[in-house]
Amino acid sequence: MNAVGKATKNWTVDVISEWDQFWFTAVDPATLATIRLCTGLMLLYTHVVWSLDLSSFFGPQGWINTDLLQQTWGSQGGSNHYFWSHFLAIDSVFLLWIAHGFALLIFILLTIGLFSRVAAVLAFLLTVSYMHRASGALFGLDQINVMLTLYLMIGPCGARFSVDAWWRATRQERDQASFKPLESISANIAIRLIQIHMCVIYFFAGARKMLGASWWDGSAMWLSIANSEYQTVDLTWMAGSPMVLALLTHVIVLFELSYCVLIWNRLTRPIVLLTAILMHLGIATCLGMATFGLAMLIGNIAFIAPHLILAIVRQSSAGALQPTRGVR
Amino acid sequence: MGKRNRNKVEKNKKQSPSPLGRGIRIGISLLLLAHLAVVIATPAALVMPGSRLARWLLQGAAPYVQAGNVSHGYAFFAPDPGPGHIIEYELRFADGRKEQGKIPDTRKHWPRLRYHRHFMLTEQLAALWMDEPPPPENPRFDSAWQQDHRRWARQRRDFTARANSYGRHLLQISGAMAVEMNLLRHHLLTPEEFLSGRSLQDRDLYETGEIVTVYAEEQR
Repeated sequence: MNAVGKATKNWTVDVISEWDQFWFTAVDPATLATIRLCTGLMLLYTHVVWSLDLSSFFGPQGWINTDLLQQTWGSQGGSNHYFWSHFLAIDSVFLLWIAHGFALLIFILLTIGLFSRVAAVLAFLLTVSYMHRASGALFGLDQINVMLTLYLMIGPCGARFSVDAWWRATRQERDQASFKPLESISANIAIRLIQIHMCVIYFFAGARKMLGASWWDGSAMWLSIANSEYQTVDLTWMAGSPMVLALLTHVIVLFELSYCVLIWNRLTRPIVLLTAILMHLGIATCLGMATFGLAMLIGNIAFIAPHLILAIVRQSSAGALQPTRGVR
Repeated sequence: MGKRNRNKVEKNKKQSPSPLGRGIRIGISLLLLAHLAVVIATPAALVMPGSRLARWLLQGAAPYVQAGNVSHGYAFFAPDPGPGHIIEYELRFADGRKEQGKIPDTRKHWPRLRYHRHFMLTEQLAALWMDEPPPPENPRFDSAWQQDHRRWARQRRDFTARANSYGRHLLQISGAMAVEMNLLRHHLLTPEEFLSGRSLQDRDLYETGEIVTVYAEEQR
């Protein structure tokens, strides 16, 4: 074999090895479980708020009536679309509340981590169904909710910080059984998918901004804070600092476009995460989208190593629900 | 390959083999690649003018993308943060009484997430609001104009259907005989205009777009 052939073979072997390492390494499910806990809370809150206008958004004569819904689905997906929602089979207010109560129960189960795997699958199906029906009242929060719920189904999201974990530990202690390690390949796959999906979200959020003149000339930040329909904190005093507004505008675009590269480097990752925290808390407090800002931060948890999460939990002595054995 | 990467690869090779067989790893890898292709293709197809390759991929994966709500456009405040839209409405009752309201309403729609849901209703209605394209002066542009006009007519139909749905819902929850809805576009001030003493709430910043009236007898 000549030198080029040998180098190509070595490179191929290295790529396969790295690929396997990236996807098929067993990791502790602490990160995934943290995301489950936070996502469960977010889903619960999101759907409790739906309760205030249940018939208006999910009843047959709601803001988007069923005829219009079918028309919207048709224009989005063609005549043979695959959109669906269990709400189309519900035509009484009583049944609507029963179905909604069931959904809230599932989100509670997911949050506390009881029957976690089943709860994760049902939570995903319910989230999709609610989203399909409430077409017309959705925004970024819903997109992040469904993304996180999708990946929670893949891994053992209830293996820590959950009633399931507590049960498992109690049973093993009672039966004097040896503790099985918690590390799991599916937990790693779920986390990797969330990480990559977050990169896609930020990259396209930035790329689509590049099509707007205001993100180039630096006025986008002003346009956001001068929109009184969004505004929750009045930042119009910044009108006199156009350079600061322009700087913030450019930082947001640069952050979103570079996230997918800089987040993978261990040196730049803390800076990227800190910027994400500042940006999303800013959106949460000033633009009235606390839920969206928090949902994005939940997605960012995927980049926090499990051992760091476990160290934080142990340090804060709040780890009553998780067994400490079986952790490397 | 750098020394650090080489060491990392060597370390990986020395580690115990994965408990998953090669066939399973290949199968899972193919599924992951297919999924990630869809995740990337969705926003790539939705950004204007949209990738042909991404659109082709999405057509093939339509059952997966639509049924599972797998990916989206992710256009947050893009391409430009634009003006806000609100609906001011007047309900007319059989006894001659009139009631005014607006969507969204910070006083009525609480907590903030609830307000935002209603805000999205008006924003998505406004997204369908488009002025009729004027006919071209030069007949050379007729075919382009016809294309634009067909798009406008489609959008107009969707706008009317959505506005009527909102109106019928307002009639249903209020028991009114008719509702007149006024879709308003709230234009934004420039920093210079703001510094000259103008308020974000100046009435002349609200442009009346469409007034739609829905009557109870039209309800099916």
